Amino acid sequence: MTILLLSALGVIGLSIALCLIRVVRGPSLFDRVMAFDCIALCMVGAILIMSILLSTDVFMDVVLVVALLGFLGAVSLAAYLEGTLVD
Amino acid sequence: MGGAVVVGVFFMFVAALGVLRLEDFYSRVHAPTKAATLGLIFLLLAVTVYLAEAVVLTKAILAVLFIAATAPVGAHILARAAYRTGVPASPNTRPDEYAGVLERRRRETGQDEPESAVDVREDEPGA
Repeated sequence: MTILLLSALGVIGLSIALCLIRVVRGPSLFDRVMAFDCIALCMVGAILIMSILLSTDVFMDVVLVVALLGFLGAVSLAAYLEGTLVD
Repeated sequence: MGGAVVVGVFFMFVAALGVLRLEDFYSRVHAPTKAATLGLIFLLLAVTVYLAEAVVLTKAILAVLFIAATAPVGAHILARAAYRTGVPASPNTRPDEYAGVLERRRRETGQDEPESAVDVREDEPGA
Protein backbone atom coordinates (compact mmCIF):
# COMPACT_ATOMS: atom_id res chain seq x y z
CA MET A 1 0.00 0.00 0.00
CA THR A 2 2.86 2.38 0.81
CA ILE A 3 4.46 1.70 -2.55
CA LEU A 4 1.14 2.45 -4.30
CA LEU A 5 0.77 5.74 -2.43
CA LEU A 6 4.37 6.77 -3.09
CA SER A 7 4.02 6.04 -6.82
CA ALA A 8 0.73 8.00 -6.79
CA LEU A 9 2.68 10.94 -5.32
CA GLY A 10 5.21 10.50 -8.13
CA VAL A 11 2.47 10.63 -10.79
CA ILE A 12 1.07 13.79 -9.19
CA GLY A 13 4.55 15.31 -9.29
CA LEU A 14 4.73 14.42 -12.99
CA SER A 15 1.37 16.17 -13.51
CA ILE A 16 2.70 19.30 -11.80
CA ALA A 17 5.75 19.15 -14.09
CA LEU A 18 3.48 18.97 -17.17
CA CYS A 19 1.52 22.00 -15.92
CA LEU A 20 4.81 23.83 -15.31
CA ILE A 21 5.76 23.22 -18.96
CA ARG A 22 2.50 24.95 -19.93
CA VAL A 23 3.29 27.83 -17.54
CA VAL A 24 6.66 28.33 -19.23
CA ARG A 25 5.33 27.99 -22.78
CA GLY A 26 2.29 30.26 -22.43
CA PRO A 27 1.59 31.54 -25.10
CA SER A 28 -0.97 33.88 -23.52
CA LEU A 29 -1.12 35.00 -19.89
CA PHE A 30 -4.46 33.21 -19.45
CA ASP A 31 -2.77 29.89 -20.23
CA ARG A 32 -0.36 30.56 -17.39
CA VAL A 33 -3.17 31.44 -14.97
CA MET A 34 -5.08 28.30 -15.94
CA ALA A 35 -2.00 26.10 -15.57
CA PHE A 36 -1.39 27.59 -12.13
CA ASP A 37 -4.95 26.69 -11.20
CA CYS A 38 -4.26 23.13 -12.32
CA ILE A 39 -1.07 23.10 -10.24
CA ALA A 40 -3.09 24.17 -7.18
CA LEU A 41 -5.53 21.28 -7.73
CA CYS A 42 -2.61 18.84 -8.13
CA MET A 43 -1.16 20.15 -4.86
CA VAL A 44 -4.47 19.44 -3.16
CA GLY A 45 -4.32 15.88 -4.50
CA ALA A 46 -0.76 15.49 -3.22
CA ILE A 47 -1.83 16.76 0.22
CA LEU A 48 -4.66 14.21 0.31
CA ILE A 49 -2.30 11.34 -0.53
CA MET A 50 0.13 12.60 2.11
CA SER A 51 -2.63 12.55 4.71
CA ILE A 52 -3.29 8.87 3.87
CA LEU A 53 0.45 8.14 4.09
CA LEU A 54 0.79 9.81 7.48
CA SER A 55 -2.76 8.71 8.53
CA THR A 56 -3.64 12.08 9.98
CA ASP A 57 -6.65 14.34 9.47
CA VAL A 58 -5.00 17.71 10.13
CA PHE A 59 -4.47 18.35 6.40
CA MET A 60 -8.19 18.54 5.58
CA ASP A 61 -8.24 22.27 6.42
CA VAL A 62 -5.26 22.80 4.12
CA VAL A 63 -7.29 21.25 1.30
CA LEU A 64 -10.09 23.78 1.77
CA VAL A 65 -7.74 26.76 2.02
CA VAL A 66 -5.63 25.84 -1.02
CA ALA A 67 -8.74 25.25 -3.15
CA LEU A 68 -10.12 28.63 -2.05
CA LEU A 69 -6.84 30.42 -2.81
CA GLY A 70 -6.58 28.82 -6.25
CA PHE A 71 -10.08 29.96 -7.18
CA LEU A 72 -9.54 33.49 -5.84
CA GLY A 73 -6.23 33.81 -7.68
CA ALA A 74 -7.72 32.74 -11.00
CA VAL A 75 -10.75 35.02 -10.70
CA SER A 76 -8.83 38.09 -9.57
CA LEU A 77 -6.18 37.67 -12.27
CA ALA A 78 -8.90 37.23 -14.92
CA ALA A 79 -10.67 40.41 -13.74
CA TYR A 80 -7.36 42.30 -13.73
CA LEU A 81 -6.39 41.15 -17.23
CA GLU A 82 -9.86 41.85 -18.61
CA GLY A 83 -9.66 45.39 -17.30
CA THR A 84 -12.84 45.40 -15.23
CA LEU A 85 -11.04 45.44 -11.87
CA VAL A 86 -8.90 48.55 -12.38
CA ASP A 87 -9.79 51.61 -14.43
CA MET B 1 -9.36 2.60 -1.03
CA GLY B 2 -6.35 1.84 -3.18
CA GLY B 3 -8.64 1.73 -6.20
CA ALA B 4 -10.00 5.20 -5.42
CA VAL B 5 -6.44 6.53 -5.13
CA VAL B 6 -5.50 5.01 -8.49
CA VAL B 7 -8.60 6.39 -10.24
CA GLY B 8 -8.16 9.84 -8.67
CA VAL B 9 -4.49 10.09 -9.58
CA PHE B 10 -5.31 8.90 -13.13
CA PHE B 11 -7.80 11.72 -13.59
CA MET B 12 -5.38 14.29 -12.16
CA PHE B 13 -2.77 13.10 -14.66
CA VAL B 14 -5.30 13.31 -17.52
CA ALA B 15 -6.05 16.90 -16.48
CA ALA B 16 -2.37 17.86 -16.57
CA LEU B 17 -1.96 16.08 -19.91
CA GLY B 18 -4.90 18.05 -21.32
CA VAL B 19 -3.41 21.32 -20.05
CA LEU B 20 -0.20 20.50 -21.89
CA ARG B 21 -1.47 18.90 -25.10
CA LEU B 22 -4.78 20.47 -26.22
CA GLU B 23 -4.50 22.90 -29.09
CA ASP B 24 -5.90 26.26 -28.01
CA PHE B 25 -6.72 28.05 -24.77
CA TYR B 26 -10.48 27.53 -25.00
CA SER B 27 -10.09 23.75 -25.12
CA ARG B 28 -7.24 23.71 -22.59
CA VAL B 29 -9.32 25.48 -19.96
CA HIS B 30 -11.74 22.54 -19.93
CA ALA B 31 -9.12 20.02 -18.81
CA PRO B 32 -8.44 21.09 -15.20
CA THR B 33 -12.08 21.95 -14.47
CA LYS B 34 -13.61 18.58 -15.29
CA ALA B 35 -10.88 15.98 -14.97
CA ALA B 36 -9.15 17.46 -11.91
CA THR B 37 -12.48 17.91 -10.11
CA LEU B 38 -13.31 14.24 -10.68
CA GLY B 39 -9.82 13.21 -9.54
CA LEU B 40 -10.12 15.26 -6.36
CA ILE B 41 -13.53 13.72 -5.62
CA PHE B 42 -12.00 10.24 -5.82
CA LEU B 43 -8.99 11.21 -3.67
CA LEU B 44 -11.27 12.75 -1.03
CA LEU B 45 -13.30 9.53 -1.09
CA ALA B 46 -10.12 7.53 -0.47
CA VAL B 47 -9.10 9.72 2.47
CA THR B 48 -12.59 9.51 3.98
CA VAL B 49 -12.71 5.71 3.66
CA TYR B 50 -9.19 5.33 5.08
CA LEU B 51 -9.54 7.62 8.10
CA ALA B 52 -13.28 6.90 8.73
CA GLU B 53 -13.99 9.87 10.99
CA ALA B 54 -16.99 12.17 11.04
CA VAL B 55 -14.82 15.31 10.93
CA VAL B 56 -13.02 14.12 7.80
CA LEU B 57 -16.31 13.19 6.14
CA THR B 58 -17.77 16.64 6.85
CA LYS B 59 -14.73 18.48 5.53
CA ALA B 60 -14.55 16.21 2.48
CA ILE B 61 -18.19 16.94 1.60
CA LEU B 62 -17.50 20.65 2.11
CA ALA B 63 -14.43 20.48 -0.14
CA VAL B 64 -16.32 18.58 -2.88
CA LEU B 65 -19.17 21.10 -2.83
CA PHE B 66 -16.75 24.02 -2.90
CA ILE B 67 -14.59 22.67 -5.72
CA ALA B 68 -17.61 21.56 -7.78
CA ALA B 69 -19.08 25.05 -7.44
CA THR B 70 -15.96 27.15 -8.04
CA ALA B 71 -14.05 25.26 -10.74
CA PRO B 72 -16.62 25.80 -13.54
CA VAL B 73 -17.16 29.42 -12.47
CA GLY B 74 -13.43 30.14 -12.51
CA ALA B 75 -13.01 28.48 -15.91
CA HIS B 76 -15.92 30.46 -17.34
CA ILE B 77 -14.55 33.77 -16.04
CA LEU B 78 -11.08 32.97 -17.40
CA ALA B 79 -12.41 31.98 -20.84
CA ARG B 80 -14.62 35.07 -21.08
CA ALA B 81 -11.78 37.39 -20.11
CA ALA B 82 -9.53 35.63 -22.64
CA TYR B 83 -12.12 36.04 -25.42
CA ARG B 84 -12.68 39.70 -24.69
CA THR B 85 -8.98 40.48 -24.70
CA GLY B 86 -8.50 38.69 -28.00
CA VAL B 87 -6.70 35.44 -27.24
CA PRO B 88 -6.80 33.63 -30.60
CA ALA B 89 -8.92 30.48 -30.90
CA SER B 90 -8.00 27.47 -32.98
CA PRO B 91 -8.93 27.84 -36.68
CA ASN B 92 -11.02 24.67 -36.29
CA THR B 93 -13.45 26.55 -34.01
CA ARG B 94 -16.42 26.65 -36.39
CA PRO B 95 -19.52 28.35 -34.85
CA ASP B 96 -18.39 31.49 -32.99
CA GLU B 97 -21.68 32.69 -31.53
CA TYR B 98 -20.23 34.97 -28.86
CA ALA B 99 -18.71 37.19 -31.58
CA GLY B 100 -22.22 38.01 -32.84
CA VAL B 101 -23.43 38.72 -29.31
CA LEU B 102 -20.54 41.07 -28.63
CA GLU B 103 -21.04 42.83 -31.98
CA ARG B 104 -24.73 43.40 -31.28
CA ARG B 105 -24.02 44.68 -27.79
CA ARG B 106 -21.38 47.05 -29.14
CA ARG B 107 -23.84 48.45 -31.69
CA GLU B 108 -26.56 48.92 -29.05
CA THR B 109 -24.47 50.62 -26.42
CA GLY B 110 -22.10 52.31 -28.86
CA GLN B 111 -19.00 51.78 -26.78
CA ASP B 112 -15.95 49.63 -27.16
CA GLU B 113 -14.70 46.81 -25.02
CA PRO B 114 -12.90 47.77 -21.80
CA GLU B 115 -9.24 48.13 -22.56
CA SER B 116 -7.05 45.49 -20.92
CA ALA B 117 -4.59 46.66 -18.31
CA VAL B 118 -1.85 44.40 -19.67
CA ASP B 119 -1.06 43.28 -23.21
CA VAL B 120 -1.91 39.59 -22.98
CA ARG B 121 -1.21 38.68 -26.61
CA GLU B 122 2.44 37.78 -26.40
CA ASP B 123 2.40 35.04 -28.98
CA GLU B 124 6.02 34.12 -29.44
CA PRO B 125 6.33 31.92 -32.55
CA GLY B 126 9.30 29.93 -31.31
CA ALA B 127 7.59 28.62 -28.19
